[in-house]
Amino acid sequence: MSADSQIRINALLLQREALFVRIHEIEQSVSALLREPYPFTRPSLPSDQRAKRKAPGRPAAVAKDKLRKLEPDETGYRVTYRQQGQVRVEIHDSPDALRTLLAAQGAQLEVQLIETVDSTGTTKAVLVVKT
Amino acid sequence: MAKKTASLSFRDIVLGADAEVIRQAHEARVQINLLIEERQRAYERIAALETQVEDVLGEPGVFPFPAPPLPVAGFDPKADTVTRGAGKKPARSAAASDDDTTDSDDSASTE
Repeated sequence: MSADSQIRINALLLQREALFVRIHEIEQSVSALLREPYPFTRPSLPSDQRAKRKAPGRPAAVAKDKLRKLEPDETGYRVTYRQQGQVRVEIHDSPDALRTLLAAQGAQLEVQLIETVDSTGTTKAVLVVKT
Repeated sequence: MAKKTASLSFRDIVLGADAEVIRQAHEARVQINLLIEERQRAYERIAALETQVEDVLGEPGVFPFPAPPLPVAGFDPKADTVTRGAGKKPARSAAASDDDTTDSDDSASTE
């Protein structure tokens, strides 16, 4: 995922979060006016829809568990992935973005390698490798 | 599950309730309707934002959307991400059922 895409997604998620905060406030206010919990239901959202994915051969859950914390001599995670035919390499200091990346894998996005590196960029350990 | 409330006729309300209670109930009902409409608009905006996120990713149904930061009806308060497949009803929510406001008693009696 390009930096631009990541920034755009983060901005959209912030707006979404703010709206959920407002919904929380509204629900509290409505229940206060009613003097008891209001029987809310919520509309379905795109986030409710599951993608049709083939079950076998997708080690995302296993790979997620392999994203351990960095050791003292490691400074970051280097991830190599293919997006829309282009191979990209990025370095992250937090595993959270990598978890998102792993979870977002699909036809257009495939993580090929995640390794830990030291301050010189030398590989210290391979955490995830596409088989 | 929400309990169904008995439908009250105009006569029931006029003759059966205290005038001050009727006044307070009417004010509450008007305010609740406004809030419910705002909630519905917020959900429509959230749906649009989630669609934009999935458009950026290029594949729908895979992004792990974070759960709401504060408790919100219809979401697992303990989950870190939205549990996919948890949405119950498409467009007709409590909000939608409250769109017919003043004279119908549908709003508080949801499914």
